[in-house]
Amino acid sequence: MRCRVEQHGGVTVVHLAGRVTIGQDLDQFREAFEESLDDGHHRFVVDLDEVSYVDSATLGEIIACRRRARAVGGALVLTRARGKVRDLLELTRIGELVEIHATIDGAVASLSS
Amino acid sequence: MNIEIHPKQPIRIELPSRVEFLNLVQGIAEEIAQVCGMPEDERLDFGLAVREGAINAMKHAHGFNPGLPVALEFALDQNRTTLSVSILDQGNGFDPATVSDPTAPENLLKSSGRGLLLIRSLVDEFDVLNHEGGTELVLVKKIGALRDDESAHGGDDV
Repeated sequence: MRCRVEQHGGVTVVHLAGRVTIGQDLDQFREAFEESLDDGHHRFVVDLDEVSYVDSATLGEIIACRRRARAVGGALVLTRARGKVRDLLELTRIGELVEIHATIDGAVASLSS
Repeated sequence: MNIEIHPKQPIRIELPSRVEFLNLVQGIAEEIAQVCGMPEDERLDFGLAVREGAINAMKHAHGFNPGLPVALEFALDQNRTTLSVSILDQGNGFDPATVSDPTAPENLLKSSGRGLLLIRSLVDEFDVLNHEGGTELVLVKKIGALRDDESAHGGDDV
C-alpha cells in the first residue's frame, strides 16, 4: 500500500494505492489523516484510483475518518473508486453515505464551495 | 514443480492470531485457488473472503491473542468444482441471525460489522457452525468458468 498526501487549496487529498487492509496499511492511512487533522486541515478527499481492493476494516476506517472530520466542521469525500472497491462501497451502501466523485477536481470543488 | 490439490487430501494450516498473518492467509487462499484452476477475479474474491473470515476469528473471537491459533482447512470437492475452507476459532461463538445488518440505515455510520456481509457476497455458500469450544466458518466457492470449460472438454485428468 502507498499513501501520499497533497494540499489542493485548503483541501487535503490523500492518494491511496494498492491493497488497503487492516494492519500496517490501514495504520498508515489513519496516521496520514490524523496528522493532517492535527495540522488544522478539515476537508479531505480520499483518492482510490489506484486501490486494487479494500477490506471491511478499511471501509470502517473511511466511515470513522469522515465522522472525525465532520466533528470539527469538516468533510470527507471519495474519488475515483472503481472495480472491486466500487463494488464493495455499493454492497455496503457506504456509497450512499459518502459522496463519490468521478474526478479529483470535482471532489475538491465540492469541498471548496 | 507442479502442485496438485487432491479431493481426499485437504490442506490444513494453523496460525497465531496476529494481524501480521492476515496477508499470509489471503496469499495462501489465492494460491490454492489458483492451483485448483479458479479464474483470477474469483481467486481475489475467495482470498478476500478468507481474509475476512480470518479477521473474524483472530480479532472478534480471539482479540488478536497470539496464544490462540486459528485453524484453516482447504478442501477440493470430489468433482473438483468447488473449493471450500473452514476457519476454526476458539471463541464463544455467535449466531449470525443476531448480527446487525450493516446496510440498515441505523448502522451505516458504524465503523465495524461489515465482514460477514463481505464474505457472503464473495463466496457461493457460507455457514457458521458453533461447536463446543469454538466456531467454524465454512466458505464454499465454485471454481468457475475455467474448470467448467475444462470439464466440458473432458480435460479433468489431475
